[in-house]
Amino acid sequence: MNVQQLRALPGWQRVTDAEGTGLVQAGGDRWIRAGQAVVEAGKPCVGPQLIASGEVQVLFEVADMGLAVVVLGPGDWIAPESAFDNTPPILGARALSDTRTLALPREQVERLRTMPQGVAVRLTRTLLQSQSKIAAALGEHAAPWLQRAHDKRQLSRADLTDLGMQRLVQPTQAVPMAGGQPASKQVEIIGHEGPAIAANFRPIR
Amino acid sequence: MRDPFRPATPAARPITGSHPLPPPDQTRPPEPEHAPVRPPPPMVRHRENSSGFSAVPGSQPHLRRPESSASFDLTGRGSSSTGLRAEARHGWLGTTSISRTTRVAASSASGSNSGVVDANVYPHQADAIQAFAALFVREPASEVEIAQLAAICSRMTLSPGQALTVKGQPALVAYIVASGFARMELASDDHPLGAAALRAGDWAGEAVLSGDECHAHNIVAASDVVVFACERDDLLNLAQRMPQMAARMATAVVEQSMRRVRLQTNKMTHIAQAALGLAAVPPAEPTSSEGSSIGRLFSKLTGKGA
Repeated sequence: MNVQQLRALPGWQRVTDAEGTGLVQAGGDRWIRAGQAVVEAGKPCVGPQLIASGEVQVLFEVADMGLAVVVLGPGDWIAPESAFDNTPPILGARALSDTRTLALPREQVERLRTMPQGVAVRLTRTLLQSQSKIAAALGEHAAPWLQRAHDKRQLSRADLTDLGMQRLVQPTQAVPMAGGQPASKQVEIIGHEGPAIAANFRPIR
Repeated sequence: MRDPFRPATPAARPITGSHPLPPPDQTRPPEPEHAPVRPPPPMVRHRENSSGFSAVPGSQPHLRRPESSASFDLTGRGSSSTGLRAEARHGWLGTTSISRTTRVAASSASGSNSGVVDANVYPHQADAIQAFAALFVREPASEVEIAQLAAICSRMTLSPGQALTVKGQPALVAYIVASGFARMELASDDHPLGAAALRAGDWAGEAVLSGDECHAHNIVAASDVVVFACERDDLLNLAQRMPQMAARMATAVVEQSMRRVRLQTNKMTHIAQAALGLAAVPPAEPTSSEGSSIGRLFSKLTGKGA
């Protein structure tokens, strides 16, 4: 990413050359194919990522089910909380389309925040905007969840589906093969929403 | 005996670079010793006041401030790299204190709440010390920064149930909880659901800081709550003058928001785990210990020891 591309993003139009160069050089470009995980919930994260192009879906995941919280686009930060916090992110993120991000390590965020120029304000402000966006979207989902939990003592899997959760992993059907199929060759497809893409396969152990 | 929370007299605390604002006594005319108790300012309920303030973000005109009578420079202090020039104006502050509270009340009435704006905020007040320390818990702010922030705040008192921010309403005023409790509520079909508690130092109305036009949450007073209200325009001006402080403030607000998101996510995780029949993680068992010498003696006497 360069300064011109940075200026094309919402919230960064008025960034100066020096500020933009400082930010771009502090981070590294990352390309993510559609369907791939950008951030995995509960796993260590190096820092926030600024979306340069593409769309990323923030997911709330429990076991094999996921809830699409919000879709982030260019100018938004993925995992904004990781800029200030070492704990693993609680929400995952998956690319909906081919995505390019600027990954900013936490140490660089700290360094940029102490710089006297306006980049510190822009950086924290855009991080706050993304965090607010995620928090507001999660609040929209949390309300019916808490309401349902309040009305009904024990929820079922059907209730979760009704509340917007979807199954993320779908085991494949056993493919009839001549002579049978050894168990080690069985695979499961990591399911995803949207257009058909190359699926990820992993053996079932 | 001197009240420790009462500001020092002007003679005891001359205005210097280390005190960006004159003490409150200096900005107000002396009151008679047995002055009649003034009723609190009336709640402003009209949408547009006589000064012509409107609720549309960005269209709020600034009050014309009187000519300055004095000013001083803080750049010699060494803590400000941006060449901060704090303006401590005797008449300016005296009239601004009235104008600002009126503006906050008008903005609040048009935007979200109808609380009582009752006083200015001074950084040496007990609740202000506590609130600002809690807000800047990660990176403590300097005295100058806190004084500047306090100068744009107005003290406001709300009763239980009164709203600080209403989702979808224009974000004109942000609040820092000084004392008491507020509650973030999620809109529901039947009744509002409490999502998170806000206590001293918590920020309500992050949209004002992030630049969004409307509030994203409903926040109501859960008890008698005192808040420091600051207007969007004043905050933006402060951010331009003190970008480092604005960055610290935004960081604090991000962390508070992150804490609430974590809380909500944990609640949802528990609900989902219960629904899916997943066993909750058992608490860690206490590690074995040989115990104290008295404990070992007691066990030996009672015959329970090994």
